[in-house]
Amino acid sequence: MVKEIKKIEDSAGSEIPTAKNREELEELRIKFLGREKGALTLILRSLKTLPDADKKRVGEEANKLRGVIEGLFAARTEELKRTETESILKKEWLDVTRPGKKGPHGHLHPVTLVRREVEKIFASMGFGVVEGPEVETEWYNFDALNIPVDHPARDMVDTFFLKNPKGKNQSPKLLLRTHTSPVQIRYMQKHNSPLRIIVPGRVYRYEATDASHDIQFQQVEGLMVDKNVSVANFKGVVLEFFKKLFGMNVEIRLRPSFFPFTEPSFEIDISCIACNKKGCSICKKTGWLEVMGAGMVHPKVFEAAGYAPGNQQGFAFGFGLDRVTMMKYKIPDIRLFHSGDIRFLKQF
Amino acid sequence: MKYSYNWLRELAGFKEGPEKLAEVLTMKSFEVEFVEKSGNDWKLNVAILPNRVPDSSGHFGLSREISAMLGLKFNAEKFGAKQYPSGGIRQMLDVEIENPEDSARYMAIVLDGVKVKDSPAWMKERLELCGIQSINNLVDAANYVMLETGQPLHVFDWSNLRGKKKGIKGIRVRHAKKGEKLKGLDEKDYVLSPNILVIADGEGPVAVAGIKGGKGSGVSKDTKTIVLEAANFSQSVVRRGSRELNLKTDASLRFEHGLDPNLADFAIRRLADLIIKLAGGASKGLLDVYPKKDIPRSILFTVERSNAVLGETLTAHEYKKIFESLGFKAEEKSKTEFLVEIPTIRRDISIEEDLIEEAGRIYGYEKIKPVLPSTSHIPDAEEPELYWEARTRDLLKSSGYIESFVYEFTGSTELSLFEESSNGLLELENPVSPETKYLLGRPVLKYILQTAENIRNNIEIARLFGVAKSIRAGGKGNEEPANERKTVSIVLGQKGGKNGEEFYEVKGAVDALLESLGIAEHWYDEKLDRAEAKEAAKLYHPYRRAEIKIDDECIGCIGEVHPATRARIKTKARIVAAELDMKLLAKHAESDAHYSHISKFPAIIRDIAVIVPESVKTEDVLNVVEGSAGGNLFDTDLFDYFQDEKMEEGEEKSLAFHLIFQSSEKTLTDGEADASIAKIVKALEAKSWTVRK
Repeated sequence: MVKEIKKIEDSAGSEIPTAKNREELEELRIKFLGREKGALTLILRSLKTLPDADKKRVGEEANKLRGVIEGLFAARTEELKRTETESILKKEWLDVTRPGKKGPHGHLHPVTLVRREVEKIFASMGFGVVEGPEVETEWYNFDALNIPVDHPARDMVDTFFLKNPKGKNQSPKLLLRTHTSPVQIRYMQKHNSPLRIIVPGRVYRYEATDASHDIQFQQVEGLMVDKNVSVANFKGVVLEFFKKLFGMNVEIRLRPSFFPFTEPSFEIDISCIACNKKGCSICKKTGWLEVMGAGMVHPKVFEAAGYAPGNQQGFAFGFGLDRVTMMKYKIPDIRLFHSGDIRFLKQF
Repeated sequence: MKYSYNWLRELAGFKEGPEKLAEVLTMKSFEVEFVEKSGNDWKLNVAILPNRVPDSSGHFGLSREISAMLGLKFNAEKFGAKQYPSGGIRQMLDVEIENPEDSARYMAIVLDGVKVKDSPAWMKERLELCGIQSINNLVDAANYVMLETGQPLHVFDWSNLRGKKKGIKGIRVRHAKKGEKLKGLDEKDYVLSPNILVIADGEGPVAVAGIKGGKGSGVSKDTKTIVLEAANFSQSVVRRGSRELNLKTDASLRFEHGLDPNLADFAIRRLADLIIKLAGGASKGLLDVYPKKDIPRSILFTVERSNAVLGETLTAHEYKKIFESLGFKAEEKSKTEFLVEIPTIRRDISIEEDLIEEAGRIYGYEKIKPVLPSTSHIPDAEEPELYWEARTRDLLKSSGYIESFVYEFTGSTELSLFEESSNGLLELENPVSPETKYLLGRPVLKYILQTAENIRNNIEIARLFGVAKSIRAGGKGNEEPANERKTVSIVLGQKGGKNGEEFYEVKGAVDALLESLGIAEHWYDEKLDRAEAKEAAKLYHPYRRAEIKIDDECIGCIGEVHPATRARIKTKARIVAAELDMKLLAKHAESDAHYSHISKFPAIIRDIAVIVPESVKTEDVLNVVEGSAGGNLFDTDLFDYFQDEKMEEGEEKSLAFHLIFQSSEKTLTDGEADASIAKIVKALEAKSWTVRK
């Protein structure tokens, strides 16, 4: 009997740990522990035929063996479970190099993105955002800005004029604004000094189009008026603006210029953002890029807006938002902005 | 304008090379656009500012400016000219100015015995460098002195002028008579109008004043006796004439900017000197009609005010030095005040600010240190419409739409593609092309065209949006010169979609937009009860479009582009568009979100599907469901819209809803949900619809 038990122990010890799957393991369970014909069951059943002295000893041996076999089963079951899960997971392998699935992805226009940045920078310096009409009267676009009829400056901007709507005896001649500056007048007519505003908006020019000129583009006007606003303040504010927009290394310079609505007037150049003043094709080897016209608000402009003379001084500036956007994103052709071409628009 | 480097150096006596000179000019006066080697000389192309043309369009003027910039002494006396007595000119020439408003001054010198020949090489070279073709010594001398002084000059052949009295030629500065003609020196025939100022002799025009000389009175190789003209003409008259004749000349360009009448005197004597030197001859006398002499003005200049504007502290002495370098006289009124006398050549200086500019640029803007404003400023609250516009852009972007810009111009061809009328559109007086002759009244049309173009570029699904202006006639005076309204356009196009899925996608974007703007109670109206609604709806498929309303106010519309329009714009894509008025969106938008209680009791979700005739609207079914369910129905959701062949034949469709039952007070039992469902089923069946349980 003891020999029998030893034999069972040997075969269980070799067969159970090598069972290939749960079915085979179940078969082995029946073979060794089955209630009907299990090898161990048979041993226990035959105990009663043994002498009492052997009965106890063999019984103990057999029960010990049961414990061993059950342990083997539990270990193998656990092992099989683990490998089965593993093989299921393995089957669920995904190709991580396949492109990810994208939902429809929207974009804002590059000029909108830069406009928002501009608004944010000026807001941090206390400037509010104001808009104005795009169809203007001659008075707001020219006369109020100290550009009387026959003034040579009316030549500097080529203007789209509008026909009088039919059947209407219209007194002020209408035009498409050539700059955002009329909003200076409109705003000052309704608000007193001190004030700080920027005016982003569309303007129109009658001219031949090419990669850097279009008949329609966006400008940003700036106006700051207070008791003692100076050229030094202007330099402080625009330097801060360009540094925040293009990076801390940017430098500015002021060159004398002429605008009827500012005195003194200047043109603002920034150090070339592509070559940092070394001279390249973008800055035409000069190291500088012309970006902005500006000056101290002309007394005639304050007068046109209804301000009392001598009570205030201020600066005004204007720059092309399209042009700044082109610089920032290295866009070669201004006409792309109105192309509606998704292949262009989705790059931003 | 073009300048000779050697000529300038000769006058101002500086040592700087051409590149260095260009740099200094650019930073202190005028931008030098380029410097170009030309023989032994250099050509400087200088962008003279429009207000400085009167004093700087000649080499004299620019060298005066250069001297001030470089701190050199400019000695105008060195470049003198002889005096010419009036002599016997009155026996040869009579000059009359009809209206001194048109011509402030007219000077003439008659030279007799001149010999016409070629100009010397040095003169030809300088003229050529400045872009002027050499003709002969007389004409060249006039051009040369113009390049020197900035004063346009003209030479007549005295014998070709027709007199009124025997032996005396009469010159009259007057407006042309209707129908008068003149053959110009350029051989072109000009028809003149009363707007145009002319120089006339006893019979008719011999020159267009300040613009062009006439062929008939010009010099030829046989010319012996000449009349030199140095006149001053009104800038507006010359400007108008130049525009009307479409003729710009070196002379008109200068006169258009308003010249100093005192310049004529120096220039004509300089010219006479030069011609006598080059062509011989002698003066018969000088004549000067100058009814109202232009005298220098003085401006009070305050040191503190200037320092306050510049934001930099300059001393009285520094200012005085700057003004004197420019040739201004600065008389000290007190320690901090000057009376500055401005030479008449400087037409650009009339107020104290102009003097501050002179001081600022000569001192150097680069020396002014940047100073951020020391006071803070709180701007007014943002315009609500701008706030909502930004929100709209963000939301449409997050719905997968791409922002695009459109031109605000349209034309007849484009309008006819959409069968849109041009009524109420504003028309340009001077369009760049016929296709941009109107302002855009309906931006969505441009977005539809852009969408079609993207489909042609093989974009599978094109989703575009933009906020553009609808601009129409009907403004409100100065306050609002035209009727401008911002319009949100949302457009989707794709090829081969089914069951109007494009429509529902755009509708989804509209719903999501309005929801995020806090507008919950909008609805879609198929009826067209207003004339303008009918007009706008023509763009769309008649059975796939609606007006978008809040209560009874129309805030926009949505629709699939009409198949006939699609054919005209040649697109295979199905395109759905929505138009929303930004101002109305802003009016109804609600910024404050409010918390609503989240029930802690679980919800029970039941599904129900109902087969209804095809023409029954989802909204009608929902009304029945919601009307019969009782208070525990918390929400409904259409999750399936289905039609098989059999249903299609029977003109029916199946709608399946999730019904969510929830109470804020207790956990609902299945029994309660079942009871509600039973009521709903009963109500639906009462409509003779089939409920699929």
